[in-house]
Amino acid sequence: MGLEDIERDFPLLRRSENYTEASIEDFNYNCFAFVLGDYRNWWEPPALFGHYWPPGFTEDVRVETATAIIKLHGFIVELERNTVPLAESIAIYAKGKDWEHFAKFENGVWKSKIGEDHDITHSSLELLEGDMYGHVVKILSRSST
Amino acid sequence: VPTTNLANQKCLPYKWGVGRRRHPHYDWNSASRGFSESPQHVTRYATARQIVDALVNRSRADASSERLAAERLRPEFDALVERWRRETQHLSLISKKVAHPAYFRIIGMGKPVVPLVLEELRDRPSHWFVALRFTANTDPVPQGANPSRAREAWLEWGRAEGLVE
Repeated sequence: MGLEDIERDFPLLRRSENYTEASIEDFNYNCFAFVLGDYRNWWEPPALFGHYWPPGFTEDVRVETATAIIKLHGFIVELERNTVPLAESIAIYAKGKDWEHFAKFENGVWKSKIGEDHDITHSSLELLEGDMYGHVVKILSRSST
Repeated sequence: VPTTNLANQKCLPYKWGVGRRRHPHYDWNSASRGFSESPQHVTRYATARQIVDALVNRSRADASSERLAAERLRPEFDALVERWRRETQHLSLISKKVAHPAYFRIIGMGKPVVPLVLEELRDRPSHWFVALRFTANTDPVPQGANPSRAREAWLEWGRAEGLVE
């Protein structure tokens, strides 16, 4: 699978205009692992079939459970949807109450791991919104400044 | 050892080899001054070897017939894999990926599809662990394994079973 496939699923992405490839494909980690800096595990409940799920958290994909896990990693400040983060931040994409994707803000750009495919950097959160990942419902930052 | 009522008998001098238990599989060969396998044991051993050989041959034949059955499924399997990859590659949750109709259909193919899934896992790593678990009806993946380790465990199992190169 290549970048053409990513662009097919996320029609707003335009190579070299608003996103760039940042890694090779890797089936070991997903977007949740990626935003928390783990490049060896696929974070998803339950902890079976090669998945990892942090012990002590309910085995569901609710936004509130993911929020608790992210806050434990120091992202404790909730930002408004249109705020441009100044510090490391994590955005949660969801459909209803269940998360579908995570993106992280680091060194002035948004970064995402696209399923089993590449990591990419993208210029805005809106570029990944749509049928596949739903919409951004929460942004958590390490700092409000 | 024969029991002896010492109270009623004279004590006889000990004779080597008299009254001693013989080893069930080996006899002392005085010409070669060593132990040799007893004819009875040679027969038993030959029979055991024949059984093992027969089991190995049967296992090879089974693996060969399983791979033949898998080949018949290949055209449909390849089409399902392409569809599954195209439509689920960018999802973040395996639980959603495995709920795709193409993945269900692959699981529905049952045990004959296992060699094809193992080949796919070897050549284009992806999350085939649920399908393998339910078609092969076993799980060689150690607790806490990440996807790469789970892949290695399945391929080791598949090679041991003669299902994948």
